[in-house]
Amino acid sequence: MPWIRELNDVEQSPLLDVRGLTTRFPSDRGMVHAVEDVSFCIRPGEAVGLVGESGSGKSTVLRSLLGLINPPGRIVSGAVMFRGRDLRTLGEHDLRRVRGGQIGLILQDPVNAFNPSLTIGDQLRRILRLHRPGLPAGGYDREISRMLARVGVDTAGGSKLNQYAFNYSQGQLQRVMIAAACLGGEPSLVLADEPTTSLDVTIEAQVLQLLRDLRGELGLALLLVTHNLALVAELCDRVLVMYAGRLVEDSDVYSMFESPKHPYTRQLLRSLPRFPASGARLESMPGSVPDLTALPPGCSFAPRCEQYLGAICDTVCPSLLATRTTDQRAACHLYA
Amino acid sequence: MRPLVRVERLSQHFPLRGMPFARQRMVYAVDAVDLAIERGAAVGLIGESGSGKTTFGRTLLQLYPPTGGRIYVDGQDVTGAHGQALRALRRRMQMVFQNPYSAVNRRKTVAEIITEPLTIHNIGNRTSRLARGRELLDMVGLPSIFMARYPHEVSGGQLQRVGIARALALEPDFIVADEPTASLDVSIRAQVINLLAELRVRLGLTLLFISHDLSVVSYVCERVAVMYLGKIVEEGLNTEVEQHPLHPYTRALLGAIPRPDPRQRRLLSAPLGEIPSAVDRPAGCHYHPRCPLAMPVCRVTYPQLELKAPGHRVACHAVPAAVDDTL
Repeated sequence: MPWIRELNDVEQSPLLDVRGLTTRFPSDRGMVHAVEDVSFCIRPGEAVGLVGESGSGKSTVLRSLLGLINPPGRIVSGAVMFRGRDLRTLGEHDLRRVRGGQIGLILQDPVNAFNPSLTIGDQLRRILRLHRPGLPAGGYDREISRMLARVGVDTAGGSKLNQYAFNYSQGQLQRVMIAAACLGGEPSLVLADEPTTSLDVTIEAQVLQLLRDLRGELGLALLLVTHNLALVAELCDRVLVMYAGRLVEDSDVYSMFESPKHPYTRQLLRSLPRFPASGARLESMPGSVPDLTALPPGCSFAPRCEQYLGAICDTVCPSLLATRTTDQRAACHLYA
Repeated sequence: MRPLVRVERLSQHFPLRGMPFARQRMVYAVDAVDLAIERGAAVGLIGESGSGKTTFGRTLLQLYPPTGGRIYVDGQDVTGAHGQALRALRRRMQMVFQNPYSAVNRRKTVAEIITEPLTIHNIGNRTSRLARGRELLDMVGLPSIFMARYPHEVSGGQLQRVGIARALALEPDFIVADEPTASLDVSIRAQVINLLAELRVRLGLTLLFISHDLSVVSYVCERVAVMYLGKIVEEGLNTEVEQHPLHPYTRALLGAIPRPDPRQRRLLSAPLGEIPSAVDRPAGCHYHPRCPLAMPVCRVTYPQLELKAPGHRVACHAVPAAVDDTL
């Protein structure tokens, strides 16, 4: 019976399997190679951190997964396999059911993520109507109150639902967005783009703990896009490191922090301020991030690399390969 | 040693716009703050957004006239200085801003940006100013080819170096650096932190370093002050404050910092709720509604900032007074 085998394959296969994703934006100064040939998997229930500096392409990866690239930007090639279907082949109608339904999305700036002219209640009702059409007529508000109570937003007997985004604090809005992303549809994967960057450190801690708790309760897989390595250490099982549009390292979180393989990851970790401070001078990385319109033919990190090997680094772009000792993968000629 | 800069009950209360006169309410951005900064010292000022740390820095430089309290520089009362006196004061006290792109004129070249303070203060002629400009660029680690560039042609980290060079142009004694690394990437942040720490020692600068990130402050400063709703709640050596925080707010703040070490994962402790608005501050100790140690007195009386350990001042009723009497 061939369908049984197919079903088993789906069970064992990764939840999300991204292959050769390439996204480019034309600009006045030439083509911006924002994401080049990025491939990775996320297993069911796994929390993966995607880290990089600004301009490394991490947010573009996340937006590409959901087909949220605005023209003239374009996904040039690649496949985004989610539960066995390629999201890139879906039409807009089907994609809308996936976005916010099976895949939740949490954005960086909660204030601008909400429509300022609709009440919070209206916006949440729209989400539920689209993704859970079966609820009875009066059930929507009850369900919304339950969702918000779960993330710690007091709706004060429903009156808060008739208020607008500006009536909420930033921390509360981020909780509402988390409620919509994790509880609105029935997601198995949540994508979070810098979910705490605009928040203060005490609110950030509350939001991180909330994400942790929800992930445990609902068995969600998570893709956390951030520039903050500490968030990844707190929340993730595995880390993907991006530099100048390419993945340079893929490690489990412990190996990444204890023995990073790619020189960029190693130099980046050393430039983090430690707390409490060691008293020593902070090590800093020379140079700056390369121009994405004029990338060198070889490794983009070569000009800043302290383990530069010579001509090969300037001419051949290394691919992401297993390193000899562990199951960590790194895109570096050191391991060729 | 006499402090270079000292403030006594410095306040900055802004009237809330759009309120009828009879119901005029105030934003207590900075409220009766006492702080002394020794010559050559670097003090970090940390707090969350809305705590008043930026307003404190700006009021200290009299970018806005303070609404209360006194400012002393070298023992002299300079509160309300204006005209020539204020101009002379500005030569000695400069500021580095958070976002370098909005702190410079985008139509001017780096050379014009850096030499503008010299022009304003009528120092030297065109040639000597340009020579000084190149010297300043060199001091912040940029080659002199940057002189001819416009802000959009340089990166954020490089432009922040330009901002630092401009602040140093008049050879000030005192610099307020307001979140100078907050808008920079991790790999660039370390460069700018190290630059500030080096310049401080090399030029004997006195520094007030404002940040929301205690781990950054520790690399530049020896002392740190923690601000909450317009008040300093704790102040001391940063080793002391980091390792033995006494104020419950400081403890919560330190407990909330995510650590870049997956083996140290713990329940992220965070104070309940969020920072209240500086308009409707809770009575008594402003922190009491979020405080696990709150006692009846906390609801009524604001605690004084008192010495609770050697060189370590705390404003909290729940922290016992210093037992050490060596001071």
